[in-house]
Order: sequence, then structure tokens, then C-alpha cells
Amino acid sequence: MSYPKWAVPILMVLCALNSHAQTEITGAGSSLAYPVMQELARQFKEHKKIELIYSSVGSGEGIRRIAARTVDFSLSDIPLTQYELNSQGLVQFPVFASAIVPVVNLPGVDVSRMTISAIALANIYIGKISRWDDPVLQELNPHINLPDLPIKAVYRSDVSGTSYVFTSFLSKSDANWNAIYGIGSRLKWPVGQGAKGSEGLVRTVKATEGAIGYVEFGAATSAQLDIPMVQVQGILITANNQLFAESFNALTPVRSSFYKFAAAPSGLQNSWPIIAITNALVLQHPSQDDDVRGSLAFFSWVYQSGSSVIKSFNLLPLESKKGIALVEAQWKAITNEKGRSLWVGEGLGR
Amino acid sequence: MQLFLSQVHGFFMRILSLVFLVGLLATTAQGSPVGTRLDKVYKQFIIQGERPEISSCMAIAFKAVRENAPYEAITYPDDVQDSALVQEDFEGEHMVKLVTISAEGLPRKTGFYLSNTPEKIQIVCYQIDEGVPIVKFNQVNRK
Repeated sequence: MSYPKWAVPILMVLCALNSHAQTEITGAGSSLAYPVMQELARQFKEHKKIELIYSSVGSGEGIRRIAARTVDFSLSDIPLTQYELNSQGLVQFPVFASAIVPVVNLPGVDVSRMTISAIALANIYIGKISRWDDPVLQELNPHINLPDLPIKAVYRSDVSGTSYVFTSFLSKSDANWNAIYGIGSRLKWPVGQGAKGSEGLVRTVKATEGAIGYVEFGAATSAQLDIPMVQVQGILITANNQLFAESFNALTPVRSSFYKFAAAPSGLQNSWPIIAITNALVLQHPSQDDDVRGSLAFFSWVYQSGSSVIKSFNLLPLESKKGIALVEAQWKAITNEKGRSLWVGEGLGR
Repeated sequence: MQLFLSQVHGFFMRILSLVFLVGLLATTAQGSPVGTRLDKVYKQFIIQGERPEISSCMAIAFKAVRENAPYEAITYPDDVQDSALVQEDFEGEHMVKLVTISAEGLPRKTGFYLSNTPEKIQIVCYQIDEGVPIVKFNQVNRK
């Protein structure tokens, strides 16, 4: 096969141009984020003609991949502290939030009328409460005849942001849990059965009579899993989207790293207590501008046009002006090796 | 006689280790500041899949061992991912993250010694307001 001599330089120029235009963005991480990311990626491609490939590998693996520089961004429900971000040259910012809910497979029981207190939940995962008709649970549910059935606790066996958020809640609620097990994206769980990924946990709970697990609200409702009410410090809270949105909006970041969010002292009295904030991680000083520019263009589009998609997956978009202004301030600190800012947008959320 | 031979062997091994250590420090000290080496160790822990919330403590303990910690070497158990304890609290307005990791430490000794047995230790990292963690080494079951 032979080419005319004049075609060679033209082909070389075409190849060079193609290699500098980013046509594909790669991301990995939180499995909780996978369904919404698939839809956001589809719509982003439709509007901006840029392909985004997101791998559902769990938050821990997502952090691993961005640290190894094998993806353009990661999504994680495990927050990193400012020290950790600085060490790895990363910038962290929230993309959306979700409510983590307990889910129960208890045939013959109207679980939506059932109450589990935060301390009872901790004691179920510690193994102190091992049967559904335990007096503690029966006292919380005098109107329900709870079955004489062993409780099969299900937890995430991978390094999971959902586990991190759920165990943060257990640590806050029960001093015993905090002293022995604490907060963990992965733990030596005292009792129960491990399942990999949100999908694995949903499958296991659905297939196991007497099972209890924890998962993001959207995944729980799509799988038609039953969600009990949660009692925190005597207040009974029912899972619903409006409450989740109010609970998320009542939170403000403690610092610019977005490591931790806190409720204002005058905040909601009955706010949903287990809110997971899904953060994106990108390089602060990439060696090639396109490594980050494409990701920022995507997230900018998400803040401006992705809210309805996010809400349709029962997730909570970041809509507060203060929050978005803080994100933009973080983006301005993203520079290339020459110190030039890689975010040249005119403002997020406008 | 056996004791004498073992002492001579120990002496030469220590001299040899010292020579290697000086060589290693000479080659690494020029090009990479301590902070960069620490970041690389931390990155290595992340890449090998350790829990993100404990990896910086594991790395900073290694740095302390290279400097003047009471232990000259530490070994993390295989189940460190599962057994490490992470707690968070507020002390006044300050956010505190506490990471406790069980490990084995080889005590730092000076002068002549015939054997050095690893001890069970607890590594505790105390991080205030997302700053650099402060690491402490506690011997377990000290009598």
C-alpha cells in the first residue's frame, strides 16, 4: 500500500491536532454515583460532544486511581483533609449529596411504620441485638408484632464511602461503637455479611430474609427495599426527599477543603442524620492542561444544567450560592506548571 | 566462644548497616526533601489500596521512624485496614481527627546489643483542624 508523498505531512498535522483536543474524560470512584453519572455523561456528550467514561469502582479505588494519575477525576464519599489534599496535589469539591438509609428485608412487616433508634442500629451492627423480636426493638415498635427471626446485618466489604458515612453516624450516636470501631470506609465488622459495592449490598439484602443494610436512598427506592423510620435523640424521622434536601441545605462546609460540613446551631431539629457528600477530586497542578480542563468543564455544566437530572435520581444537587462560590474559589487555585489558572469560566451556577 | 562469635558478627553487621544507611542518606538527601519523600510514601499507601482515612497516619509514622522515634522500624499487620480506629471530635472550635493503629515496633537502641525484639505498639495520630498529624508511639502492655 502506498500513499502520495504530499499526504504524509497533512496526516501528521491532523494527528497532532487530534492529540491536543480532549475528546474523552475519564473518571472513577463512588458506586453510589454511578447511575446518575451515566445519565449526566450521556447528556453532556449530547450537548458538548465530549465523551465521559465513569467507572463504578467504589470511593477508595477512586482515590487510588486519582493518586496514581490514571483518571482525570475521581468521585468519593470519603473526604480527604486539607493536609492529605496538599500531600497529593489534589483539589476537592462537592458535586452532589445523598441520604444514606437503613434498609430492611422483613416479610410480613410494614417496615415503613417501623422505628429503629440510632443506638439500636449500632447495637445491631455490634451484635448485641441479634433477633428482630429483641425487647429493645419491640419497645420501639409496640404496635408491630416483630417476628422471631435472626437479624442478618449486611455491610460493604470494599473500601466504601457509604460505609464511611454510615459509621460516622454510628460513632456520633453510640459511645460504645465510637470507642471500639469508630469511623471506617472498611472495618472489622463484629457481625454480619459483607457485600461488594452498593449493587452487591442491595442484592444481598433483597435475597436475605431478616437482613438489614445501609444504602443510598435512590438505590433503595429503585430496588424497592423497605426503609424504617429512624429515631435520633428521641426525635422520629421519616426518610423523604424534601427532608433530605432541607437537611443538606442546612449544612455548610466547615472549611474550604470541604472535608467536613456542619449544621448551623439554629438548624433543623429533625434533619436526616446520614447525609453523604460526594466530592470530586482533580489534580491541582496537572502536567497537561487538558487533564483537568475537561473535568472542570463537565462539573461546571453539572452545576449549571445538571440539577434536574441529579434530582431525578433522588440525589441532592449543590444549589447554595455560598457553596458554589466556595467551589469556584477552589477552582481558581488550579493552575498548570506555568502558574496559569486552568479555570477560565465566568462564574459557576449562573 | 559462640557468644564471642555472635558479638563479632553483630558488630560487623551493624557497621555494614551503618555504611548502607549513610550511602542511602547521601543519595536521597540531595534531590528530595523530607516532605516529598513523605508524600511519596503516603501516595504508595493509597495506591496499594489502604484505607484513605488512615494512610496519612501510616506514612507519617514511617517518617517519624526515620527521624527520632523510639522505634527504628515498624511493621503494620496484614489486617491494618480492618483494625485501625478512626475517631473525630470537636475540642472547642477545633476539629480533631484521631487515628489509632496497632503495629509492631523495633525499639531504637544505642550501643552494643545482642538482640532486639519487636514490641506490640499503638501508633496514634492526632490531627487538629486538618493540619499535619502529630504522631505518638505507645507500647502495649508495658509492665
